[in-house]
Amino acid sequence: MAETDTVFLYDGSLAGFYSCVHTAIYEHVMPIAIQKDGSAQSLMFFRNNIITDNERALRVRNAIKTKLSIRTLELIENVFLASLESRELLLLRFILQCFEKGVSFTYQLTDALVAKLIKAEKHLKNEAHLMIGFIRFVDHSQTLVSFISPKNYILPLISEHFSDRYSEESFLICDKTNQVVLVHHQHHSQIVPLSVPLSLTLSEDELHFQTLWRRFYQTISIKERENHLCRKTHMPNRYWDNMLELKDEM
Amino acid sequence: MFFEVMYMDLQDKLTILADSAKYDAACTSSGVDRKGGKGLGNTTAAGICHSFSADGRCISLLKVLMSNHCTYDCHYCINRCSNDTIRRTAFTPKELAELTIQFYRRNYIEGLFLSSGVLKSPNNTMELMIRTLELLRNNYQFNGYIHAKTIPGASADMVERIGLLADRLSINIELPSEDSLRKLAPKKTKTSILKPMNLIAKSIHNNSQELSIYNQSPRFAPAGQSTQMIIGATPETDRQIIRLSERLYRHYHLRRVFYSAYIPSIEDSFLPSIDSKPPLLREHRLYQADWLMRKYHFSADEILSETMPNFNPYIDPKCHWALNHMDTFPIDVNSAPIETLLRVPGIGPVGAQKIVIARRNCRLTLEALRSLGIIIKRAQFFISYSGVTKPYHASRDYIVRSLIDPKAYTFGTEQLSLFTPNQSIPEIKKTTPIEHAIEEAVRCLALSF
Repeated sequence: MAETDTVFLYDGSLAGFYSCVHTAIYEHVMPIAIQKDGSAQSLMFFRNNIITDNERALRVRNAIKTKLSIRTLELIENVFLASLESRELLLLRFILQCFEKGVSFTYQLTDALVAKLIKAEKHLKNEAHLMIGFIRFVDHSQTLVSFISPKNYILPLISEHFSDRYSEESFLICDKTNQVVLVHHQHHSQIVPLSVPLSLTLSEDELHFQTLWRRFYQTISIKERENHLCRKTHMPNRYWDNMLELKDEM
Repeated sequence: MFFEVMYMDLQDKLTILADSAKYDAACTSSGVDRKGGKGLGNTTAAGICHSFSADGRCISLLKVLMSNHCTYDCHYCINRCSNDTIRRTAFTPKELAELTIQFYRRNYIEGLFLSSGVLKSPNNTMELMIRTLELLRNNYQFNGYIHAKTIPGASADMVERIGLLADRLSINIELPSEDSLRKLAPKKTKTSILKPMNLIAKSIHNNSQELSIYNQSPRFAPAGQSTQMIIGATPETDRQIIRLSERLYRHYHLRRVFYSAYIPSIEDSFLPSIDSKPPLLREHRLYQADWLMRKYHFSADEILSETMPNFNPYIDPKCHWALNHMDTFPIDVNSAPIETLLRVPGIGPVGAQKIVIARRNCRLTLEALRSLGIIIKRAQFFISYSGVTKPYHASRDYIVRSLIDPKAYTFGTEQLSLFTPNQSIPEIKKTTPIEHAIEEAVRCLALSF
């Protein structure tokens, strides 16, 4: 498909993205860019507002799942959550190449496009894995509350872990970057927009446990082995803001 | 007011008992997958690092002693009973269980790592530890990770009970030879350590048989067994140490052996002086050798021999082996089996897997290998690939220089001076500038390969 001078505008959702894919394939249009509605646009190009159609989106999804593979679908949906620039367009190109060359294209690790997608997926998975350890909760009136500032949209990836770990508790994980919050209450989780800014006053009990943890953190280090570079490599500075024991070290 | 006093005590207790426990290197929360559901918590097989301390080590568990009172007098231990300079205290089982739960709820930890000094007797100590674990598992319905140390000399029924409560058990081998153990820790006899270790291994084996019949059987130490030894306090060679590790892995099916560089804290005629530096580079080489044995299918005898009983500080054990076995190279990346790929410097388990997957679709070139994350700077002398049948030819000097471990630079000349000189390792003084030391080493190494 030749690249036309059309820009696809969509609502930012996964279903919206699949609707763009559907349009590209069935109307034989290769857009020059796929952008979220509301972002800055050049007047040079034609704009095509893609309407999110759940039925068409599902058809595209099933086609990928059955005609390609589950791994291909996983890669696509993971990269969609990642913070890769122009990821929608790259994913569209990837999907088209997969249909053209066959499912083995997904494993062509030496291809520049596939390598780029896998790198973004790795970045996403790494951040989610680190975040699972670095999240700190505060007990606020029997609800556990925490704040995170990730680079990628990791809430869907960490939701299962925490819903399982704290299945009988109520908790909130507030994503400051993406302005959404994961709410878990009475064995049920969902991700909703974060509308109200939360400010917390800590109870005495909470302050005592925080002091205990800080004390433990400072004590456990062996002075003769101090290695700040090693610590920074494993725990990048950008996570420290939301971790109480490291606020003193900053 | 009452809470103030209670928490003050708890703060001091935690400081003292965490300070006493920090030399125990084992701190992973790995080895078992357990879903949550009823109660609080779950575990993840890969383990989760919640933080990293100022010394760069992962913090995953609440690592404490039940008590730092001790009736033993081991020379290397800060808690030895003849040491009057430290404050002694103990947690109550209820205090410790509550602390663990509150830390766990806030996602500070994956669980508890519980060791102890010997309070009156091994069995008495075990009883207190068991009571804490019972509170956690039964009263608090805690499903998180528990690593419990077994006290040397504990009886069989104590071991049986604690194994059903903990995920991982460990008993420290402490020192790499029976002679050293007798000299520095006379009350910790070889039997008192190996008997429980053997019992744990047998119980784990029996448990896996039970589970194959009825998979809802209670689990005994599902994350297996580990141990630890102190490096640099006693004169054993590296070869003795890794041969011991190999025997421990084979005979007792341990998951991990941990090596802890001796940090002098007390002046003692049997131990290195209190000014001596902890042998961190040597500890690093031991972990590299340990990884080679577990993940790369090397045997201890392949890594070190009678003629070379100690590690080369400048080159990691794998590169050292490769340089001594140049006749096994070049290896064709497009056809070699995965075990052979693992022998190439610059190719690790992840890289080898990627090669195997990628080569199903196309023949791999040098650029392809680079994009897979293979370290070409090292691997190029040992491989052949699409378009090239002979490896990159270079002088011995050049090859050695490419394989020198950059960590030898960062650890510094002081660490290098701790290694024994031999034909390929010149003697290094602490004051030698690092560049001179490296040049001298390259010259010696190039001659010996």
